[in-house]
Amino acid sequence: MRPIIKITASLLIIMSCGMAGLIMAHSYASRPDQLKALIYALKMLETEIAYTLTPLPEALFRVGKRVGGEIGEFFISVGTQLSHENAPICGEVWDYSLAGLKESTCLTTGDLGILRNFGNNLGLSDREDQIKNLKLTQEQLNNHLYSAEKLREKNQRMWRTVGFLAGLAVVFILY
Amino acid sequence: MISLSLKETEKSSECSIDAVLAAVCPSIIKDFLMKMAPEQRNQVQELRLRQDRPLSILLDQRECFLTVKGEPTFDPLAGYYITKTDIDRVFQSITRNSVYALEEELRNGYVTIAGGHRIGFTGEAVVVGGKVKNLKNISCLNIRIGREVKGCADKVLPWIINRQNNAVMHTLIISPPKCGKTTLLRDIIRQLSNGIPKLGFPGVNVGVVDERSELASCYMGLPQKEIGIRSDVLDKCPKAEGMYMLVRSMSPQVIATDEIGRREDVAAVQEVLNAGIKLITSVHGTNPEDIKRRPVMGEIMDMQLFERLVVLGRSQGVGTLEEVIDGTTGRSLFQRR
Repeated sequence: MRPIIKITASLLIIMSCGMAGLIMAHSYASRPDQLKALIYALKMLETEIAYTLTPLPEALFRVGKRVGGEIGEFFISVGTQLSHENAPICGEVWDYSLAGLKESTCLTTGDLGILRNFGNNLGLSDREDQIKNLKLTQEQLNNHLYSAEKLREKNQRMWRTVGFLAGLAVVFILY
Repeated sequence: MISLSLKETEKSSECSIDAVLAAVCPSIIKDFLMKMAPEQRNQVQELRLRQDRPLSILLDQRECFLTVKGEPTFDPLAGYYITKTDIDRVFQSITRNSVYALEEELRNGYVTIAGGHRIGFTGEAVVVGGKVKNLKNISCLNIRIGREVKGCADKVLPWIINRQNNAVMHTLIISPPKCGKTTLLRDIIRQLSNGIPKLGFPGVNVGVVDERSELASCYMGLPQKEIGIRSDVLDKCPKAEGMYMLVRSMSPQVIATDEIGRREDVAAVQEVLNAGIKLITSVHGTNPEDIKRRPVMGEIMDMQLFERLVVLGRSQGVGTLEEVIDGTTGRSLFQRR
C-alpha cells in the first residue's frame, strides 16, 4: 500500500476518534448548562404563577421566550400547544414534548423523570401547591446539577484527550 | 334629541352553543351534541355533567338525557354516562390548565367563560378555618348557556320612566327563580344606557354592580353581554360596597344591581337614594306581600323606597310581565289579562 494512503487513513482515524471524544466531552459540558437553564425557567414560572397569576399557556410561552435555547423552545412548544383550541390536557402535552427534549438535549433519563413528575401536577392545583411543586422540582434539579458539575470536572478534560489518544493507539496497532 | 346610530353587534344565538362547546367540551361530548339537529342544538339551555351519571341537557325547559347518537331521550339508561375523564377534561379546558389563576372563582363555585356563559361546579370543599378555601375532586358541572333577549324590557320601560321629566324611577323587579329576572334587568340597563328613541328618552350613565357576573358576564373585566354604551360595570364586587364605590367614582344617574336582600344592602340603598341616584334592582319572590315577610327586604319595603314594583311570572312563558305596582301608593298600574 502506498504510504500516502496509509498516512491519510491514519489521520482520518485519529480525527474521527478525536471528534468522538470531543462530542462526549461536550455532552458532559452542556448538561449542567441545560440544567441551569431549566432551573432558571422554573424560577420564572414560579413568579408568573405566584405573583401575576398568568394562565399557564401564556406563562410557559413568556418563560420560553426569555430562557431561549433548547429549553426555551420546549417551554414555547408546550405553551403553544396548550393554547390550541382543542384544549389539550397539560400533562399529556408535557409528556409528549419531553420526548422531543430528550432528543435535542443531553439531559439524562433521571433529569427527565423529575420533569415528568413536575408536569403531571402543573396547573392542576391551587397557587400554594403549585409553588411547592415548583420549589421541590428546582431542588431536585439543583441536586442533579451538582452531580453533573462534578461529572463535568472529572470527565470533560479526560474525554477531550482520550479520543485522540485512542485514535493514535489504533493507528499504532494497525501500522 | 340626538339620534344615535348604534353599532348593534348582532350576536346571533345560532353560534352561541357551538362557541361554548368549542371552548369547554372534550371532543367526545361535543361529538354527541354536534350530531343533534342544529335547530334543536340551539334550544339547549343547560348541560349537566355528573360523573358516572347520564349526560343531561335542558331542552326547552325540559330536562332530558342525550344518547351517543345525539338523540334526546327521557330514558336515563339510554343516555351517555359521563366518566371521570370527561369531567377532568372539561374542567381543564375551563381552567385552561391554570387552576391556580381561578382560586377565587373556585371558592365561589362557578366561572364565567368568554361569551358570558356560566359554568358551575361541585365537588369536595377544602375548608380552612371554617371557610371554604377551594374545591377539589370536581364531580358535577353545570354549563349554562347565556342568552340575551333584546327588547324584553319594551313592555316594562314605559312604566318605569316618568314621561314628564324623563326621570327613571326607583324600581324593584320581583320574580321567582328562572323567570327571566336577570335577563329583564340586563335589557333595562341596555336600553336606559343607549337611550330609547321611541319614548324620547336620552341615554343616561348607568353604573352596574355585578356581584355574580350575571348581568354583564364580564370576562377579564370586559362585559360579554351588550349592556349599553353608557354603562360602567363593577364586576364581582360585593353589592353594598360596589354601590358606594359607584356613587363616589362614576357619578351615575342610575345604579343597577341584581338580587339585593342582605343586611348591609339596606344602608347602601339609602345612600344611593340620598345621593339622588335612581336604583333598579331585583329580588326573588312571587309578589310584594311575599317580599314584605322577609326580614331585611321587609324593612326596605316598609320604607317605601321603590316607586315601581315589577312582578314577573311564567304564566304565559318565561318572563311574563304579571303586574306593575306603584310602590308609594300600592296601586296596581298594570295587570296581565
